[in-house]
Amino acid sequence: MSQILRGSTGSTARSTTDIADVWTQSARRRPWLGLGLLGISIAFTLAVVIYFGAWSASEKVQARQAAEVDPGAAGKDVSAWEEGFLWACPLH
Amino acid sequence: MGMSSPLKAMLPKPPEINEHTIMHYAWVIVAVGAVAQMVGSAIRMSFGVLITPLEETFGWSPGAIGLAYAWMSIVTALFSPIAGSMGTRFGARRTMSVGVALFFIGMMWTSQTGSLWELYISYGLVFGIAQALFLVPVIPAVANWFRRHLGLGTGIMMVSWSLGPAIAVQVMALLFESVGWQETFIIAGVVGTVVLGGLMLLFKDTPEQAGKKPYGWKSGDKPLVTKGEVYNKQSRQFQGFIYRTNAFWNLINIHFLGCAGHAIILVGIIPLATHRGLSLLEASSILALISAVSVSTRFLAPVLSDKIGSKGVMFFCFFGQGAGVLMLLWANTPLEFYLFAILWAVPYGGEGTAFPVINRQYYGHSPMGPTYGWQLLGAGLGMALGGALPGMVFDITGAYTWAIILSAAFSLAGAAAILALEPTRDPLIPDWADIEAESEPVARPAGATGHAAAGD
Repeated sequence: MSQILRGSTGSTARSTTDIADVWTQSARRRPWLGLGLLGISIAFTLAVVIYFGAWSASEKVQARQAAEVDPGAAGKDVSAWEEGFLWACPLH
Repeated sequence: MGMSSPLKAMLPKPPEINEHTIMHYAWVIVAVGAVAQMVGSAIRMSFGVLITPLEETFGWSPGAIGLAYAWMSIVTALFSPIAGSMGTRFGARRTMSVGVALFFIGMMWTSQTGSLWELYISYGLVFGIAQALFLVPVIPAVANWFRRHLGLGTGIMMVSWSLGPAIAVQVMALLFESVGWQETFIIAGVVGTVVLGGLMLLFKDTPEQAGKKPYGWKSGDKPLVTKGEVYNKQSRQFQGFIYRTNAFWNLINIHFLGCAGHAIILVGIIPLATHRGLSLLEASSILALISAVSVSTRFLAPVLSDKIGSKGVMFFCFFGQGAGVLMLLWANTPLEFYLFAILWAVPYGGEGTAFPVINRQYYGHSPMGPTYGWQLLGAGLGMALGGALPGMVFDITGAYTWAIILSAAFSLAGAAAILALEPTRDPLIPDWADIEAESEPVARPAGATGHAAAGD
């Protein structure tokens, strides 16, 4: 039995035993648009996390420095996550 | 491949299922799905009650205990695509049964935990995987039972997202008070396993498996192949095409942005309100009001999506969620906070509930498991991020202004991303039912595809 498949564009395509051919012809595909938007969201999220993480690290380091008698000694207490955020953020 | 038209015309037409009837097994499946969602969300949401007893018993810091919750959320999110694929490959019932077994192990182990790493494994890892296994495949399985009116089925089930925690948090709190935290986990584990295990006996993956017709079935509809070698091969092939559409990636992105947007508010609203001078009771009632009002759109959003198209409904919800949150920049009195709760809960309730319907509109009756699983990965990571941001922002700035602005930015970015989706009038890939019909060596009536896509 031959079967008429309706494509999304309104055109018709006769099916073959290889169904993938029909999908290839008729599917509306724009993966780069979706991937691009997802990429922008990931980049924005990383920027937000790094910025606020570095801000938080900077505040903590400054608070420790203010509490120390010898300001130079405070830098030795910087933890790995604080160092990481401060390294990654160009604004802090 | 099939039978000639005159021969087909001679076949007796099976009776149609009435447009709406309560006497249909699809509602049993919806009820099972709703209870599974309630149990899962209840245990998850009642974690907050566990923090103080663990702190008092072991002397762990709230931050270290809270890490178990964050770890569990991330594990559930990361495991969601796998759970969705397992549901399609092995069947929802089998996958959910494994999830129930892991739920029992996770709950019993958590009750006996004596160290932090044990808590991270028992609650974070085991319970996290269990949640993904019994929460992800259930929605695609419910979709299998609805040839039409999927929005109605989804809407009824989604109401359980609000009701579960509302009921169970109180029960868990009472148990913690009366019998202690260890016994509470044992009782919740045993009762939850018995309830979920019992429901699995009633659960059928597809109407075809149960020898029934799906809800909304009409005599012209082509039957669907839902298992076997052809099904497995074609579902893998079809999924490959889904990966190549804009909507697949963009819907993950949209769910992530929407969940990050509202998680900031759900986690931050009580501390924000108390910071602005409201009592703890007044602040708590804001959250209760949001939960109560959001029930309406949890139900209505999928129903309306089915009728008028998902894209418009989703845009309204995301835009409303983003714009509405800006009210918090000026809210100071209880009345202003309550007004915010009522107005914001309407779009918030509909944010995540239209996804099964838009999947159906884009990809027809193809297996939804892997696609929905990936969308829940986006949602889970969004919830984890949104949950962490308010405290982080407050620690730095001493105010919640930046958290509110970020919440609005995430939701409005989601609304903008929705505009980049294709209209839902036509499927993105030729309908699964047509393809299935072509490959099946069984004669069936020709006619409608059963794909009732509403257009935006």
